[in-house]
Amino acid sequence: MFMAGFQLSSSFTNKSVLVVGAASELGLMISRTFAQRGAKLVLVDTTPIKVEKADELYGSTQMICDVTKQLAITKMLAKLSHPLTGMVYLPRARTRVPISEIKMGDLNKDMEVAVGGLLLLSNSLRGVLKASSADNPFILCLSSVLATQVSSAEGITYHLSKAALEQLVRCLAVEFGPEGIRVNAVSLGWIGKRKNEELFLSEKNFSYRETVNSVHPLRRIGESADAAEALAFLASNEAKFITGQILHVDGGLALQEPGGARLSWINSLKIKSKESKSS
Amino acid sequence: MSEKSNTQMNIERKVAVVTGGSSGIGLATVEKLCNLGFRVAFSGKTQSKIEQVVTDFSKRGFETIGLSCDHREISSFKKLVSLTVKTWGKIDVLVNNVGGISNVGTFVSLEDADWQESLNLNFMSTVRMIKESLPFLEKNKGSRIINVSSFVAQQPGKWNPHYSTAKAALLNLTKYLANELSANDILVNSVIPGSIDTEGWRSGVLLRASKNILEFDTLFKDEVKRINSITPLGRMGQSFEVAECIGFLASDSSSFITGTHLVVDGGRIVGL
Repeated sequence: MFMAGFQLSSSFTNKSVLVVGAASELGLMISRTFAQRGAKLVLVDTTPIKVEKADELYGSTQMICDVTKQLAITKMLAKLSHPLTGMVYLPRARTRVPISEIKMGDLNKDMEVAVGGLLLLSNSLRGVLKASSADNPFILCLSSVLATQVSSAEGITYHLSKAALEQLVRCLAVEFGPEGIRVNAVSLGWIGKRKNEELFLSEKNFSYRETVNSVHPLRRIGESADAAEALAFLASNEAKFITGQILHVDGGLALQEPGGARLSWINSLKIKSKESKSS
Repeated sequence: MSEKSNTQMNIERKVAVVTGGSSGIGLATVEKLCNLGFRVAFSGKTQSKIEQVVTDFSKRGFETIGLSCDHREISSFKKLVSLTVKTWGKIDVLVNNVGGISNVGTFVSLEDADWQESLNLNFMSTVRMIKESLPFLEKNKGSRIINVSSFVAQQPGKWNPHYSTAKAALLNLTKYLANELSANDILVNSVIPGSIDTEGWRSGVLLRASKNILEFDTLFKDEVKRINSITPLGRMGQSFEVAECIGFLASDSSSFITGTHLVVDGGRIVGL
């Protein structure tokens, strides 16, 4: 009974939030966390989300939109009847090609999806968010340990897009701060997906699981809920003096271990080139 | 109360210790943690102030105990820990908040004694407190250590290098301990406050005013105006806003966060 006291439970009943990239597993978890606290949600993605009646998300507005296109954004926002007090931006392209095979298109795609959409939407929502400055408006997005550290297991253009995103968070914080709009990010490490959970926890996966857990100082991989709780804190009125920040929620993964056992293991997962994949 | 029910209570309620808890950010933190359901032990300097805090909080149903300490003395931390454990049997959360600037100055003007005093108060206090609390923190799963640093740790100005370097040392210690103590299931993080309108901050302005033979009110107004103009959110922070961040890092909501610095500064250090 008392333990409940250690959960933060600030109410979001005055918050009306655009969740962009809501259809992903992480997007749904974040949306539900916000909905449980009473936020009114607009769920945005490029595909529709099937919501059951028992779901907290039942009754949320849904919008289909390619947020890398200004025209699509303008059309979508014109259809929204109620004012918005915040945005959570999640999309990423996560292109995974080896460095020798990178094309300009790969770079463009990662930048457009992770950074471009956020910039266009932030500009388009600026006026609406400013108008709700009494409700502590916010823009939130997701970064990664790969914004500042390097893993050969992920594509270079994905690394670049997350580094750019973090600087965009700081730029927007300085630009929008005088209007009372806060801009922050949560930086994630390894977040396990529920659809892989059974395999991850299976007997035959023992040694892989042990290694993955052990590269985290807290000896486990992250869950969607870890990310959702941190975003909810940054969205809450409790965080109203925080802006321009990247909050790391990674179980200590970003802490460098002298000797590099962690790094060398992660790099052993190096991306395969297309030729070696097909062979 | 019977011994048994006392033990049961101890299992249900968490216990926090806050150093420098009788004013400013520390006091706001004691209040926040009480609101989250903690029992809180805190240290302070002035006995009468400490008693006042305990009395005021008890009227609101909060359970606190306070101890008057010289935070430059290792014996103070031994006393604070033993008092806490004697009273409530455990420690779940440690907030190392005590600190301050006893002599303002530049590198050229500061003496060896000023450095020793500042490192003792702002850095060694935390080292000593963690050392004393560790046997109790490691008994519980997911205990927290939260260190209160300062934005000057990342962006020192032109004043008080004995303070800014001590606060920077806290950040390094945070990351180090996050690695080492993860084996004991202890999560270690820092908060980095920007300019917060506390008694401590005001007394710093007063000290500078007296050194430069300026009027406090004028310097105070000028300082507030200057800070507001260089902070994207356009204002100084309040103690409770830092306490909210500490509350988050002490809560179950942050159970996957370790080795992190949470900056609460209205955007001040990201701008040029």
